[in-house]
Amino acid sequence: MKILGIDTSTKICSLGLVEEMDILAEYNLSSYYQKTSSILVFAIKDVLEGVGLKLSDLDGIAVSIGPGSFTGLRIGLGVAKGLSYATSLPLLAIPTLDALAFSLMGMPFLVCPILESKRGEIYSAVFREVDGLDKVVDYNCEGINSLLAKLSFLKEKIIFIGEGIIKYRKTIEEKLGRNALFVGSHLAPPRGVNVAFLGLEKLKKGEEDNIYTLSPLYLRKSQAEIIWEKKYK
Amino acid sequence: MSDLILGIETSCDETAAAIVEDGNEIISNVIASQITVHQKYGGVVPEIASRKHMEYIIPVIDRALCTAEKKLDDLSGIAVTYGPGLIGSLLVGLSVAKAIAYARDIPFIGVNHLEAHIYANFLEHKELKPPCICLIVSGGHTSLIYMKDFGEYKLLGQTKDDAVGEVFDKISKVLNLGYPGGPIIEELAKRGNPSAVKFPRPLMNNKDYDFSFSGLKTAVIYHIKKSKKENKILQVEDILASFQQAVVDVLVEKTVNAAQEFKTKHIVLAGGVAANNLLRKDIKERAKILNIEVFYPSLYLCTDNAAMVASVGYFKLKDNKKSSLSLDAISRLPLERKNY
Ligand SMILES: [Zn+2]
Repeated sequence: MKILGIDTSTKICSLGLVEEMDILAEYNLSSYYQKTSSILVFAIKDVLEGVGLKLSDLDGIAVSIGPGSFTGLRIGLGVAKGLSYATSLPLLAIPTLDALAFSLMGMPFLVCPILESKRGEIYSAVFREVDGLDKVVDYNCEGINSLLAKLSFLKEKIIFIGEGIIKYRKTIEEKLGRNALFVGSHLAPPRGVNVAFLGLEKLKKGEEDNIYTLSPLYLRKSQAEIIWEKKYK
Repeated sequence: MSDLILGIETSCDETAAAIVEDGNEIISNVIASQITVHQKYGGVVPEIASRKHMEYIIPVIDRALCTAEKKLDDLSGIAVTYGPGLIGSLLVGLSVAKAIAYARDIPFIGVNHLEAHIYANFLEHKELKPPCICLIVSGGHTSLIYMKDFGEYKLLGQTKDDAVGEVFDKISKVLNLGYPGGPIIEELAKRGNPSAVKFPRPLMNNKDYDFSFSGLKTAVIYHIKKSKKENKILQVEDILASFQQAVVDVLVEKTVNAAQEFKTKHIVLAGGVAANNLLRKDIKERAKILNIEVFYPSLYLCTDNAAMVASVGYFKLKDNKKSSLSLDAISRLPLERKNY
């Protein structure tokens, strides 16, 4: 089975095309040079043409559903919904943090992917590998100190991944000491291939998402809602 | 053979899709309005609007096709608004449209939202042809445009601050009347005296065609606060009637002046505020004396919709002006810019 994976949850526009255990193609471009919304559809076309495939040769479309940049997530999900609607291919939504943790499958440590939110908070979750990824701490959006307070209770080695490690490495090391491990920054960004592999797993379990109702996993209300609730609730 | 265009519109707070045949026959026209979602905030919240578009977009497109009893294969093109508007909202419609167009190899056309508003008139008034002066007034825009020919526009002026519809919303909010302000104020103003309060008519007698409404807004709010402070009984209907008259006077004056300067016999109104009956009546009266004809769309085509987008898409496609799949959303897209 062949799956296309799309991850636009950060400033990297990343695509991966997988067939069972093999990676057929991979594409990563920083939106620093060209905006994701300008390149995404063309990139998909390039990736497929590069391996001589058509959309109709695929078995499913997997997309990183968040948390991450709200705009990035909507571009990715918008394109994924459009492709799925037009081709009737199953849409497979994959949480961004799961896809990040998937990179470190096989590590004998807890895995904590961290992404920065626009408002100085951190999106995170903690996974342990037991026949696949097991979520031991649920997806959360909070300040770095509140996250680290929680993690220090675990008293285990934790390996951090995700672009958040670039900014917060020092803070994490100060709090967790030798229990904190980090991947190299070249491994930090989310990758479409991980999304595709997890999408394949999901499809094989017969799970599929509904394009009529699916929304990104924002983990954070809009600022207007937060202010309104403070005022009236 | 007839050409069917699927139009998609998500530039502000309406998720809309429509099927239009040959540029002027509406086969289906679906609009999912978010008014109730934004009501409690007294105006459109961009992040919430983007989220709602993402929820509504596929059901709305699907319903437009189903009610028209058409399939994607029947389409000659997919037209979508790519600006001006709220960037996060625009990106939802644009991303879905590009993906469908690519997946099914259907020609793809990016449409300017302001141009679409103007075309709402061509959809309904088959006899109407340029040249004409177009006044586009809504919660998001206040623009006066000279349309020389199809696809040829000159922006004469626009608001330097608040859009007209925005001012209606803000004054409605100050008086706790509800959202959107336009229809509520118009209803209450019917029972008021339009010359009760002398509000300013900003820039009305300037030679150029720019507008400014924030000064008028401040004057109205100041008047309300002052009356409350002096414990006067607030004559809400009078205040609203006077305010509405001040807005309409400025819009009418500038639009009619432009029609005279450019010697056109047609004035075209578009956008949500074009639904205002006082504006329609006053501009018609002034234009009649000068032998100028005034056009405006039915209510359901004044506010944001996708039929007007599909209509522009049809004419652009006929002109072979397809867009690239790399087209990006542009929040402040001017009408003159040629970006196909
Ligand atoms: Zn509009």
